[in-house]
Amino acid sequence: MSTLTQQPQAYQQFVQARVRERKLRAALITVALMAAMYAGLVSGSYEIQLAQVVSSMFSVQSASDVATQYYIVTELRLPRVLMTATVGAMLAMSGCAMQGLVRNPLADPGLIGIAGGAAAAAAVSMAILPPFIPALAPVWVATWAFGGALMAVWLVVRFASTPGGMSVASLILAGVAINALSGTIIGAVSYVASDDALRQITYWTMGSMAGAQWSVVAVITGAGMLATAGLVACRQALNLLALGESDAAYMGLNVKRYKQTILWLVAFSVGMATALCGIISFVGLVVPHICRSLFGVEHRFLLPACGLMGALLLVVADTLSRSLFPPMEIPIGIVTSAIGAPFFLYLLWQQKGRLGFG
Amino acid sequence: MLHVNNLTVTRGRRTLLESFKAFFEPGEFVAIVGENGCGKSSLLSELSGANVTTSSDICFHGKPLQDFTSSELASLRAVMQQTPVTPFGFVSAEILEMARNQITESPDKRQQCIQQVARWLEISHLLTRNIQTLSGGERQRVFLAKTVLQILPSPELHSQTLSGRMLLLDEPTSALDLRHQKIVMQTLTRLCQAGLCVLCVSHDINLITPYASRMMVLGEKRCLADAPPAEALTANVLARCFHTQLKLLKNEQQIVFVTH
Repeated sequence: MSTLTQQPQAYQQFVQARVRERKLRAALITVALMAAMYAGLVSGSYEIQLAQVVSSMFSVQSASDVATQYYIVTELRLPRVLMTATVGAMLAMSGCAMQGLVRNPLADPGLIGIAGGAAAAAAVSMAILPPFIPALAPVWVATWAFGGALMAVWLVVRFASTPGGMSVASLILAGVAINALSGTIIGAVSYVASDDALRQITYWTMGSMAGAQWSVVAVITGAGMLATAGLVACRQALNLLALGESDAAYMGLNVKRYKQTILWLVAFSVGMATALCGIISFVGLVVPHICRSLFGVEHRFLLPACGLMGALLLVVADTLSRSLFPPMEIPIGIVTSAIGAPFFLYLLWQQKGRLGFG
Repeated sequence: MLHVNNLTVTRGRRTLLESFKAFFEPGEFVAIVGENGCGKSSLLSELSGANVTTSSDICFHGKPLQDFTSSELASLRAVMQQTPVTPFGFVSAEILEMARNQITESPDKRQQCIQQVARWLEISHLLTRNIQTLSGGERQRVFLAKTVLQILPSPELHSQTLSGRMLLLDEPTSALDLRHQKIVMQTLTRLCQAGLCVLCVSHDINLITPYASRMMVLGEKRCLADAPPAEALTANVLARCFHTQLKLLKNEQQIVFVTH
């Protein structure tokens, strides 16, 4: 009997220790994010003395050198760092949600073709169907990208749905097909595009944070807050869905409604991020995986943790892309792919043999 | 409580059950047996109300099953599937907490309920374990606990605590050793005494016979027998159900056992 009476206590202690551990780790990641954002402000091809810049804000006259620094920080780097953090958080959280929804840790929104669909649609709008009012170009491209992302999600889910739930093998194969199709569309569009549009498309398929302006930051932050609120509201639904769609329904979840909501939110996040920054793959794959090992798989903790970690990872990647070979800038999509692709191979290696049954 | 007035179960183009009729009342422990692929699991799925077809006429608490929302149903009946889906490494206790998703209650009471059910099914020592590292039998007990927790209003059981509620179990003991089979059956019996109605699909006729108050033998697209186990299990019924000759033994308490 003694073991039976001791066990509740042991369990309570376990729960408390776990909560403490999670809080500590979240705090550490937040500190790291702050540090990375600071590094993002001061490093790059132009050296910045942040103390001088801050003090220049309070003095009427300042040296022209400091004025340049002030301009670089407030008009280039600050919006860029903020946008990078927001996009990182959005991509990581949508990756986490997508993986919970299809019950497989390999489902990255880029991998299953959502980012590709967004990119293809955006390329079409940039090169072939520019908006009638040029000033509306960013909104126009974003709308197209969102549409493309939705289309891709719809196609992928349609192909991968079987009566017994979502089949992972067909999910990834559908993703391959949609990525190939997007590649074809982008290729065809590039072929007929003007030089100007072509440069824009090329730059953009590799992902870039260079488009950061305060107006863009405002849009992406708004979108990010919407998507975050939506996804966090679905956290318990994601937990239940992780036990299978039929079990989730037996446990009282309106499966159809939540599934659609989550897919819309993922398409919205990825579409917005892709529209504004181009294709940045593998963030949605790598970050949730790291976070699961640090925070457990419960989505109440996992989703916000993914947001923090995604922001951290992308800010670090962007800072690296700007400061590795100054003044040249490596496209950020290439940095994330360089980290993410080997990581994906590693995950595949781990899951070997289990893939077909998912 | 649950009245099946007319139900036809089809899977693909095959008809598994035709104009099936039955009713289930509080406190009953109903065993459902039959050969592979005869429609036991499909029947449970229809009765769960999750995918009610147009060709069914089922009333739960006097109301057509298709008029319930999934959250209304979730507080009145819980379903345990044959194979649990666990793609992520949840801690067992997290899965048990999900079962209380529909219920508004204090954290203390939630923990008391979880601890109580964990004691019944002897999984207290598994609560902090990763579900993916559990053995098949351990996992089955955790998921049975989850199913029970979904419809348990309070940690103490009184005679009518669970009246009006229902458990639909699809082979809940298939991976269990003898001791845990016994524990599960005794727990289910205790829940039935508190008014719960249990429908349990099982291939282990000899395990369930001493505990079940009623046995439904499915075969030939219908219910071949629906009676207390001692009456339902006859050589004739078993031969029609399983298409082979089986022997029947009786012990001193008049409980029937089936052997080859």
